[in-house]
Amino acid sequence: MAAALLFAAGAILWFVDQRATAQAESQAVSRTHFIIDALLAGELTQNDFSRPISGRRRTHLDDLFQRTVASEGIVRMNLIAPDGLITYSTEPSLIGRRPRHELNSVQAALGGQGVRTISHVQDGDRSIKVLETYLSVSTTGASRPLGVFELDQDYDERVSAQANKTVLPVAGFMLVALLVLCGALVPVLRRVTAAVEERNRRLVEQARKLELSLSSAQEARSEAESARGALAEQNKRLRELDRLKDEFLSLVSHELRTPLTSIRGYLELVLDDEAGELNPEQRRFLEAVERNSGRLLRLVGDLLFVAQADAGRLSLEQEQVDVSSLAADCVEGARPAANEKAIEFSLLATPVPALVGDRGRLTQVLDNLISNALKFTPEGGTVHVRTFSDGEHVAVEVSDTGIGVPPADQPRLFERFFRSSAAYDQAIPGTGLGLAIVKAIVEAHRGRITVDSHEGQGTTFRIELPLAANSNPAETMEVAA
Amino acid sequence: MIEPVSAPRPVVLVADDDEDILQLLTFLLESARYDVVQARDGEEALRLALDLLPSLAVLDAMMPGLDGFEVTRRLRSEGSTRHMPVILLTARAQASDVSRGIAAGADDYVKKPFDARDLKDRVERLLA
Repeated sequence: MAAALLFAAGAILWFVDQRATAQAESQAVSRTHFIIDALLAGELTQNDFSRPISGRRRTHLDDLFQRTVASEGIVRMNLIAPDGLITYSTEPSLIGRRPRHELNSVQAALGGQGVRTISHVQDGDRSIKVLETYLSVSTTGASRPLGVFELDQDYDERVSAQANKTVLPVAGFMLVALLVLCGALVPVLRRVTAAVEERNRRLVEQARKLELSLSSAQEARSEAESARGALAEQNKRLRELDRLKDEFLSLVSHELRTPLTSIRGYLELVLDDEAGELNPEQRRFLEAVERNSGRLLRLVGDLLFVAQADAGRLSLEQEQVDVSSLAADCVEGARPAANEKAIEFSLLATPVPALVGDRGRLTQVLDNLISNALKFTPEGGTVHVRTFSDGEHVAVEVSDTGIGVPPADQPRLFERFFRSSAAYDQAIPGTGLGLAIVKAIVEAHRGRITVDSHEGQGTTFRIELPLAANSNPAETMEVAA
Repeated sequence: MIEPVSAPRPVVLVADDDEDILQLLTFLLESARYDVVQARDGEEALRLALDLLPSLAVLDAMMPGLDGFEVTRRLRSEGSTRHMPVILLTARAQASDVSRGIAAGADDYVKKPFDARDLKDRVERLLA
């Protein structure tokens, strides 16, 4: 910083010196002009430039120069003829000589130019730097100049001193200004430097942060990649699991049904007396076996059904179904069970529009709801089935005067394997799959099921099936349950 | 005692890899007065069907090796057995099995466990 300031100061000083020198030189030339115009013009004649001057004239000129021109710093004065002959000089030894090296300057001066050159002359034992100025001398009325006047001035005395008079104050001013500048600038510069350093620091910090975030972005990317990889792996495993589940279902279905086929087949033969007549006790025992193998079979069927519904592979037949006549069939089928418990069992079926759906599955729904109602209604109670339509839906209600569902259990009633605490308490058998299946079938028909139950008073299940939902009877739908 | 001469009884081929079911089917069909030929896998079923040209075949759908679907398909591709009635038995509940059976060319499809009377009715209907 300081070096830069010093350099600038040096450059300015050099420039000022150059200017001052040039000015001093041109002042020296002006002085020569003045001498010629003011002091010599009237004095000099043609003769003074034609041949070397001697005698009285020379004494006169010596006297003239001594009186008017000579002063500190004036080294010498010459009068030179147009051909370069020195006709007069304050240095007597030069008179009559014709120095070659001055010829060009003389010619140029005669051409009207102010010529100045710098040379070194020997003055005793010291060498003096001399500023030589050449100017033509004319008289009024003459077309050509008479000759040339040469004035030699001590350079150091007349020029450098002059220049220094200018340069020194400037240099002093510069020094003071420099000091002031330094004083003023240093704090500013310090602040600027501090700001620059601060900015640099921040840039470095930012670069570091960027680097960090870049590396963390890379890290995140590689993490995302590995997560994606893990996800793909997991997807593969899930698909594999799904396939295994399908295989398992198919296997279970086959493996459980095959022994049940034999059990029930042979049992049927025995009960048909194909192997000889059974006594009443044998028959009673074998009928218990048949009943329970039937339960097992239904359980297998229910499990498979739920699994299929889960997998979204519940396929529905598309048939015209009259829900009222379907309800009548189901009620008729359940009548013996109702009679057994002396339950008042009634149906109020109004004519309803036919809907498109799976007759077998809808029968399963009504059978389930009705058998549930009979199961949970004590002897002598009432079960009532009602069908009706609002023009857009067909609704079926199955109401009972059974034990009811505790409010806490109602939200979970349609979950698979869920059994109401009331059912547990009263040891009413069941797998907890019935209502899950009912809900799956109803929803596969785009319908909905609701329950309204009061503990100890009874329960009403209501299903609503849209009439317009299944508009294309030709197709078998695959519906997610 | 001399038995009365009667028309030859129809021969029914039954194929199941489960021995108990095979014997059950045999008993049911023999008691319904059919002659029964037993096969314990698909290859045997196909060979017997082509050799003996039974009146009807009851085939378990799920057998190791050649399954019931494949046996049905091959029977349909042979001139001599092209019109032989075939009933497929399956323990699988999927509806897709039914369509597979139909696509293979089976005439009827019975789910296990089957009802003895129902099976006998179906056989009788196909032989009528």
